[in-house]
Amino acid sequence: MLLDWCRAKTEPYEGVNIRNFSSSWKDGIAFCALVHRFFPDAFEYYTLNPTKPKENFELAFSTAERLAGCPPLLDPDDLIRMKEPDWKCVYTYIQEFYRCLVEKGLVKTKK
Amino acid sequence: MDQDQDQYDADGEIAYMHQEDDWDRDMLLDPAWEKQQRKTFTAWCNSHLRKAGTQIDNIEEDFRDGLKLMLLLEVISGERLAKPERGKMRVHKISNVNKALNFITGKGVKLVSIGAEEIVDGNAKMTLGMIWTIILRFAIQDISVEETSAKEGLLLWCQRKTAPYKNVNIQNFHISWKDGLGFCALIHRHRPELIDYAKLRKDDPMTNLNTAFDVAEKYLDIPKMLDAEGEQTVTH
Repeated sequence: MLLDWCRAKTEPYEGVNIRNFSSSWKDGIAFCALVHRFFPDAFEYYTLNPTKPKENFELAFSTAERLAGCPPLLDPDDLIRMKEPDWKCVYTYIQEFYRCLVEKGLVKTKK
Repeated sequence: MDQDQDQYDADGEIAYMHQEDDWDRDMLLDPAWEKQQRKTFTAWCNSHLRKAGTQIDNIEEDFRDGLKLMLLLEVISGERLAKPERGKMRVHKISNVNKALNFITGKGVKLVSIGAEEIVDGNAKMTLGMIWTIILRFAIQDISVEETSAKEGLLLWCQRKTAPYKNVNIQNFHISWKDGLGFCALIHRHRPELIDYAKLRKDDPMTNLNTAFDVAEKYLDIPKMLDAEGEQTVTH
């Protein structure tokens, strides 16, 4: 379900095709797209560079922390060191981002 | 990768970690992943435990008496669990861990082969597996994938189409369109020869709106349904 949610929210963004919780997030662009979807004024999505993953991670995580109160659970250095991100770690972060958005009233749940 | 590792528990006695054969093979395969997961899960637990005024330093150790585990579940769920036992003996710890596990299963989340005894004994793989199950199945039970309503879809389409135009910022269906540039940008994006966009000024909404509606009617077969005056005066 969380994967479907990510896909639905990032659907308008070119350059993002989320198929899983690992390789699809590798260049950091998917994180940025998801954060930008909820905070479009925070940064210019169209200036992002997929060959600069560390910067993308840092931008996404710091924006999410600042505007959604989402704690930075993932370390950009760890993420770029691995061949692809570990899916449980990505899932944990996205799940937390989702929870923070719900808390801020930016996302409606079934309740 | 079957190993028995020496592990000192809280009382200074050596306890052996036992491998569970069928347990999460991907965690066993790559120690680097395991380290990263441990780090991420610990950060996640702490982000919630912080609200209860506590933290964990070692994810494999600090949940063993069940107390912080119960706190974690309370913070995540927003509900109170049954009162924990305050005793320090093994039987109290098992009782507390069971309270936590029962709370989880009571929400309809299956905990496959996770037992209170193993958690109290400090079985790292089980503890991490339990935390993972909480993250995966328990923490966001009410997720719904909203249908992107037609309105939201249309708004997004407008945003994408007008993204290259720096003086246009579409956030809604009313105020964002008042200066007329949004309409002009949309037309210009598809038929740049119809409008000299560079000549338009933000502070001349009447011209912008009239230009857009005229061009749309004349060249794009879109009848005027709005008029510039109306756009200007009505606040939606």
